[in-house]
Amino acid sequence: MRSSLKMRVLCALLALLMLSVPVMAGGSQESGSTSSGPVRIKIATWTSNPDQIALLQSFVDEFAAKEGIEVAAEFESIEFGEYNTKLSLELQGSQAPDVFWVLETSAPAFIESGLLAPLDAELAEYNPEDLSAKAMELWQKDGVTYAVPFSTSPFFMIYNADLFAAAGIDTPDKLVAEGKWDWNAFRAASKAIKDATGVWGYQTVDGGGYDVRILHNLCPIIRSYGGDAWTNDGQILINTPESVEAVQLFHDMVYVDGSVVPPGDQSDFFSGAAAMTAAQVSRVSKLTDVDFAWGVAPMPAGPMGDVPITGQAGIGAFSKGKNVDVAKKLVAYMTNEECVARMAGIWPPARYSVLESPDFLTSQPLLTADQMSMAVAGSIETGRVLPSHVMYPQIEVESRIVWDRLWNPNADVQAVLDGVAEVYAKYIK
Amino acid sequence: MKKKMTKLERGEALTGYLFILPQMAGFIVLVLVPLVMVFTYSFESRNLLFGNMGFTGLDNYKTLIGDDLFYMTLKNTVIFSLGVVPLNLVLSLALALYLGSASTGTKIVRSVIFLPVITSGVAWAIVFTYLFQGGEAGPINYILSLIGIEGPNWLHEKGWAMFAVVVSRVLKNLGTNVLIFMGAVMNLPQDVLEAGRIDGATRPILFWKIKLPLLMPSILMVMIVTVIGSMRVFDTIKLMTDGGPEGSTMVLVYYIYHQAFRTFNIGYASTIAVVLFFIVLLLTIAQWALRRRASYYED
Amino acid sequence: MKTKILNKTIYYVIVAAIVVVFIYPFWWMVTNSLNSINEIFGKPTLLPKSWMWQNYIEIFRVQPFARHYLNTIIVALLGTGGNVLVSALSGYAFARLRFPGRSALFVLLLTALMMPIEVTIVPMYFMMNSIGANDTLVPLILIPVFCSQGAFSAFLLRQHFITVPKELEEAARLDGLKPAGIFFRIMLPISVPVLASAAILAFLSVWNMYLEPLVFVSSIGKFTLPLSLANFNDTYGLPQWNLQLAATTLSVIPVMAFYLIFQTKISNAMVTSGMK
Repeated sequence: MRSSLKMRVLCALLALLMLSVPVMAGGSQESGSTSSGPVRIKIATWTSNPDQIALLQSFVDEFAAKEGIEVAAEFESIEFGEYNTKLSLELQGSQAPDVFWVLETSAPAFIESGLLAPLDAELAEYNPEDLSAKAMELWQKDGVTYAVPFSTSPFFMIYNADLFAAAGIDTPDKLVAEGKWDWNAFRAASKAIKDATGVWGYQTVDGGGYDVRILHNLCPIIRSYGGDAWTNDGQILINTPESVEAVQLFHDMVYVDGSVVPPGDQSDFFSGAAAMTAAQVSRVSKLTDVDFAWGVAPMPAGPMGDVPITGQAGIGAFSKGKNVDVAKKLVAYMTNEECVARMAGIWPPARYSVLESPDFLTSQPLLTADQMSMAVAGSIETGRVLPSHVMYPQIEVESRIVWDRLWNPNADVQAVLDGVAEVYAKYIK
Repeated sequence: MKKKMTKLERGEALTGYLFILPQMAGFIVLVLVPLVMVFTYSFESRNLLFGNMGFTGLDNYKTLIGDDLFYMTLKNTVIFSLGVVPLNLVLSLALALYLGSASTGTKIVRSVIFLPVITSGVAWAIVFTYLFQGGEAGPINYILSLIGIEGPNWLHEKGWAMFAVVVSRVLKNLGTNVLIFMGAVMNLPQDVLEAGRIDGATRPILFWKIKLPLLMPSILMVMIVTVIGSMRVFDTIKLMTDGGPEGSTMVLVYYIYHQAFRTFNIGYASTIAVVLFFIVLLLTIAQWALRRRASYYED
Repeated sequence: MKTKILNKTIYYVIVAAIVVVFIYPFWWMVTNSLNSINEIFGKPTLLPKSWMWQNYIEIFRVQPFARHYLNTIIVALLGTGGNVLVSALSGYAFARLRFPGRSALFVLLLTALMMPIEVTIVPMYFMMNSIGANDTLVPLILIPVFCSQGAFSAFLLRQHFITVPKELEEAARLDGLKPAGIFFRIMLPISVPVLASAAILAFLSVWNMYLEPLVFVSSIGKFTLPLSLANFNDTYGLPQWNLQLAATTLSVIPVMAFYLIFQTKISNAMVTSGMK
């Protein structure tokens, strides 16, 4: 008698364990489904800055009010380095975001894969003249727009004025005014500061210039020397003499001058441990609490003159999302003229009406109108995005192994870049 | 032999099936089915973004044969194992033999050596990423600088990076093997050792001719468990070196992860997983063969 | 006499060296969890420079760290509990109950023992996806119960149940107990030490899981501690070192305290893991 009771308890326990699987799975799924009530929209981004999220949230609220529907937005911040992996995994599952940011380098792969919903109907009310055709290029295929670049943001230099003063050398904006701000002047300044103060002269963009952001780091130099990584029509230029000369310059800064924060070292510009860094407007907010005087300057020029690089980020709607129609409208709303104008101080837009408005130059409270026009505004239309490709993830992983060879003192730059070119050639035709 | 079961036997059999049902059901769903699937995937062109583009026969295997990166990761995996396994075995055996007694010092060593074992792999890897910082800022380099050695940029120089992950991994898992060997040393037949001593065997002879042969079965077992464990290293690599520099710490498991979740080649990642499966299978067969021999010795 | 003193000295030097090597990483972790970011990369010191206790408050602001802790505890408890329950049942059946196909099924189960999760994780991802279990804690609970660790517990417990004297069961049977009754009223109570070993090993394996949550979990509310620790980065991927160390300290201390209390028990359990 007793034992059969135990038996029953046991069976019940096991049944519970088995049941708990679908229940727990289903339980969390429930929150994602729609019946009545607010439309749930999950938005994936790589920013975790609360102010930036709040701004995006306000767009969602206004959108909901305008459409007369209730929208419950859930923001998901994914770490930059893991963004593509996590996003791609989520897009396969039941917890997929409805709206997500797209990295410029993976734009072709996401468009090609059909994961982005076509937005033409929703964007119809935009004045096409207002959007920079050049900026839209990456996000369109066969005349259909799959995402809208909400940020077309040039790279520029931020410098620590105190360290320049301590080393007793001219600041970059002074050199700009004299027309002397080129990569050699940059190299000299970096070395002078390291020699005089012992503080690193330069930190690569977000400290990732040796690995995750290698092209962001090197392309500005390479392009202003007349080289490139590859071009959209399939030419590989990474091992041309121009590219080699440019990369050699950076390599010498790291290993001959010893003035750049080296690989693996965590010294950070924003905590005062480096005198210059390459950045975009979105990073300017990190300057709020710094305890040093700072200034901005455009990226240095090279033999080919001033060749600005812009970093782009797009926003799109998941084509297989449950609320794809709302998501598409939301994307269109978030990138309309008014919203774009409000984002401009963080993420500069590719809309002429906003760029040309006087408000744009004062949209970032930490930058003066002069700084904004010198470092940012001028470069948006002339700047070019980094090269991209459908196979970019493969290219990135494989070429990274070859790039790594560059980061030792005796590296043969030409040989390494020949190796990189070989990897590129496997995928770029 | 076939005979009708009695009612009692039938009841027992039924209970037996009922008892193993949860485990076997879970086993089929979570082990067997995925294993069959990984073989199927390995014959398909599957991509995380683009979906399944159909059966492609041996294409993935052909790619594998021509994939230099695959050979590199295979080589790295062997180097990693060759670093971890002997270091771990020699250190743990030496410690177990040396610390065999039950003094206070030994108890303290037993405790501290075990702390990394109960620390999560991620926590341990994070701390060692800092300890192995390059320049003077890294604690290990700072200590080296005190004795006049200029330490390398550990995690960013080819060769040193592998050394660093091996060291952190060995320190993490040493405790388990020390304990196992301590048990084995304690169970050594005292009469045999005593007879050896009476015959005037010196300490080296006692070790090489008597203790080591007696410990061999345990050593071999521990060795294979450690080899299989070292094949599976993931957290240490991902957090400390991300497979770099120059792919020099990219091991098989991390390559699978890379192919599947960084470059989205699900089909090709499965092909590499099949290779890993066969490697572990071979090691396991070796282990079981040894276990049979080991128990033969015990009889 | 002199050599004896020398030997003693060498012994204590070795002991001291081992203690330093194994304690220093933890010491470094704790002291630097109380430093500012810049101090971490200054000259190493033995004590914190600025005693920034606010690091320990900040970690809960930067991430839902308490939630991550709770998730880990949920996964660890359910994973460990399920592991022991399921494997005790099957371990007993494989050891003591006679049914056709017993040894064949057991050998089949043992194949799970050797199967690293790394081999099957890719298809498992798609499987979990199809039942909507991705981005929930469910896969993280099921894996320790049924995959390699589950098979190991079953093996461990079967080996144990085989050694229990048959007379115990005979007596119980004469008292009229059925197999299920024997299992619950006789076998489980006398097996508590071995069950505890299995539980400890299962717990440690769950506590260590990193690849599994990395693949199966994506939203930050579902993170477990290992994911959480690796995620202390600012918006652009730069690690927030001091916070990361503070969080790591918080994740290490409870298990360490637990270990120091149940040291012998845990050590013995680990020795049995060598049978794997």
